[in-house]
Amino acid sequence: MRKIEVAFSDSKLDSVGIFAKTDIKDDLLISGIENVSFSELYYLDFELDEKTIEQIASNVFTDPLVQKYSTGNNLIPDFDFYIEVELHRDVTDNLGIIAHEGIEDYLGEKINGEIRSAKRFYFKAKISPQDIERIAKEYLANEIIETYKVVKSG
Amino acid sequence: MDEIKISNLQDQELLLLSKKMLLSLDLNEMKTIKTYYKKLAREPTRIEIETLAQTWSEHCKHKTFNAQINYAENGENKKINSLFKTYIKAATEKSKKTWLVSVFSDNAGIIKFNSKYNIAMKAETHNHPSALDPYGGANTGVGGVIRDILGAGLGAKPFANTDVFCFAPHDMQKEKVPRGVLHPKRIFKGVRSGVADYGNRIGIPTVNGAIIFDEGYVANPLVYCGTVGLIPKGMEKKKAKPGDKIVVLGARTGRDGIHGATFSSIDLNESASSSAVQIGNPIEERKMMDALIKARDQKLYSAITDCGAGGFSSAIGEMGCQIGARVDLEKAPLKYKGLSAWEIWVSESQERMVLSVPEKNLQKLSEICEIEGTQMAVIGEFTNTKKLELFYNNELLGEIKMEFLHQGLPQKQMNAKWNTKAQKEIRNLPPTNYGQILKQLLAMPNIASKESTVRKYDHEVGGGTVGKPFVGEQNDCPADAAIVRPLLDDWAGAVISNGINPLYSKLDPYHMATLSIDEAIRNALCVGAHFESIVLLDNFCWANPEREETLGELVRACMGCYDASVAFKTPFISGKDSLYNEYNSENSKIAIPGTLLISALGIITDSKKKVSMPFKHAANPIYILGNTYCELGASHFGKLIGSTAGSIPKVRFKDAVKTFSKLSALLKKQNPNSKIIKACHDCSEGGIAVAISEMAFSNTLGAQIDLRKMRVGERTSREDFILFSESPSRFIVEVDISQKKKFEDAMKGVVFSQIGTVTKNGKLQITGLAGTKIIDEQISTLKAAWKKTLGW
Repeated sequence: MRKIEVAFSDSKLDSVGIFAKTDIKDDLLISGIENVSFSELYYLDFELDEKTIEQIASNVFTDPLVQKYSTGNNLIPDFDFYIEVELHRDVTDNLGIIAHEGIEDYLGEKINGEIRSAKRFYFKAKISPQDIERIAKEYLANEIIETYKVVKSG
Repeated sequence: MDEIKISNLQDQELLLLSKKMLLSLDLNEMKTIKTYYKKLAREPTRIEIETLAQTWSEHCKHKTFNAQINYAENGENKKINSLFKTYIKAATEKSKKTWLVSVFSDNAGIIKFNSKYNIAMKAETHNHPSALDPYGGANTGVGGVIRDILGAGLGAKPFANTDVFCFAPHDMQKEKVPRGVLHPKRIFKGVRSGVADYGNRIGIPTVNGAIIFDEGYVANPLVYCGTVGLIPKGMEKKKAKPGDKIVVLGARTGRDGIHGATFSSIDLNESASSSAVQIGNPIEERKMMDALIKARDQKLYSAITDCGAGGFSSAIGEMGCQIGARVDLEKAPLKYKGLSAWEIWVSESQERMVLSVPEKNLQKLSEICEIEGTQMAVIGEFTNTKKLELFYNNELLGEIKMEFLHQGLPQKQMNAKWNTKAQKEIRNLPPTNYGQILKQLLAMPNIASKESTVRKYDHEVGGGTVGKPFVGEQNDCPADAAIVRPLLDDWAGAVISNGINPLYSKLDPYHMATLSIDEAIRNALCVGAHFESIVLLDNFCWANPEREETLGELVRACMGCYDASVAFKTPFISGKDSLYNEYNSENSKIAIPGTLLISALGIITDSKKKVSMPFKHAANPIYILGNTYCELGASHFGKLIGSTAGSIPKVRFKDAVKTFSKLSALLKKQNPNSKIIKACHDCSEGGIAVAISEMAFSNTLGAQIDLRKMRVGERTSREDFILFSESPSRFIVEVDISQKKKFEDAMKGVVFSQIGTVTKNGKLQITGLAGTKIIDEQISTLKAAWKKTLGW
């Protein structure tokens, strides 16, 4: 399974992260969040060589003027924890389908395999595990169609 | 064949099977199926049972609206054979309007527009899916109603969307939200993003809407989506022909939205499945839409319908109901492997349409799909067998006679009862600080500015929106109705408005319905729609109609619809119902208030004559049209002071028709370059005090009003009654001072009076009945209160 991660290069442009921080404070009344950064993830369940993956990441998924990408390490290194949200396997993933189409268009050939998209929210925040669960369940993920995981730094 | 053994099942077992398979069929219906298959001397197959459940679902067959109802009103009994036929269709038939092109028989109602085109309109609800996944539910609500328009006649091209929501209050305490239910604010934010993302991306402007708040919607938010489209004359009829290929065009089929149609007949509870949620893709729908319009113009198909609730089963079953159809399910393009045949058949995957295409046109259609980047597949053929035959890899999985499928459903027998509620006396003393009350009223969520939501929608795409959602010098105040020119070389516009006020249902749904119709028409008239051109759409959202009292309320609402539609000569052209909007758990049962959305569609032949709501010039006189009565029952003022007491507002049809006709005739006649009526706004939630405040702060002017000059229908010394009464059929009008006489002459016979003048001091000043100022407020303060509540 290969991963391509894309985020805004300047945190000021990261409207999803900025809104998440405000909404969590205003709607969930959880304070103590210093920063939220958002990234999009694409999981490829087919093999491509390193060079092709790099080309796809930079040419298909990234707007070089405002975005950056990674095909390996986490794109946002400085965080306390992140919450990653993805659709259940049996829910249509339009972003994944379009990503697949985009890669085929770029490479000019059919690709056997699937792409699933996911969203990741990196937090700089000293908050309790209960509050982390609340953020995941009450704001970021709708468990009827989505699943989430929490990963702590280090 | 995958058989479901029902021939030996007892009543209880039949019900259990219906529940287990999520069929939503009652005992009588299950027994009808059992008897039918007994006669055939075989058991039904899985796919046959699923087909019957989809086709006979409340969503597709409107069983409650077509039921035989034993209705008891205040002890008097009456039999009603179909609410739909008795009150909705009958009202339309009585109107005898010649510009109705197609009503109640298609995906949408169609009316005449100009010499070359007709207009189609449809409004839908997407409540249950939006409760589970607000973003996806609202998203696909918009997508679904757009497809209804694409499937009206041989296909209308959508040019405007509308959206109306009902939520629980955004600041509801978390403890009051039942387990397994999302918080209202989360639902609100998800729904509005879902609507914005679909409408904006597909490139159709969202031009009109409303948002209503009540705690009853906590577990069942309501999401109404409407679309208006343009269709060339002569394209309103369609008929699938034997020999035509069954073509599915658009997206692939997946496991999303299985059992959406039958799910809509079930109360929500704590457990819900992801497969009942549909996932939308506006770009896919846009490509499909562009391909369809091209194919329509080249006359490549003989019939079309959308794949909505029930998926292929409903679409193909409906198209082939007079002739027959054979379907090869393995030919449907799939999103992924592993779907069983019945899942392909009932899946509600989005962005698909079904077409009936003569074989000779397949190549041309395929070329169009290739160019537009969408896909098509032939999945069967219309036949003349009068049967629906379902195959998978040439194995016969199901065979049902069309007659049984469409006519076999037994008419539902239901009981309803209504007892008029005793009216309570108003016990509160008159307030002492009217300015404060007015600010509180303006801040109530139902009245407060919805700018933060409306702003997210693209209302300009297409370039035809001449009456915009926002008016006023800062472009942040709401218009009464939208005007869209579907043809940019013609000044004729479609006027779109709505009326909805479920608070009145708590007192009497009859009056709620007449008031909603009055409001929708009033709103359309305010901007210049011609009264005689207005048609209506009814969308009922109700709780469980199997309770006698709940059905009794629905009956009352339908009676109100009939009376108002006939009195105003405004026929219904289309409608929909969504029932069972309630939540059940071990500890609680929460039902929505009976909610009726009336959408009005009217024509303005010259949209340069449109009028907007803000006051325009200081010194111009301000008039009120219509009588004010002491009607504060279920009003917003009542809600503010914690009382539902007082009499419910009533539409006095004779007076209202007179006011509407004269106002509309004057607006139609006036010169666009020298308008007699400079501003016009309807009085609704919060009464004249709120209406005049909105008109004043939209253009940073002011107003001086004298309550002694008001025409009141009954004697009263209560200023609060006059200021905040929600009596219907009233307008606040600003008239050009130099044309006062012309206005007054034109209004002869209508109850009206000059109640004040527009000022430029930036203040709203109201003189009370004793001659002293009872309100003296800066309009900037009023506007700030109005903007704050929902400004997130």
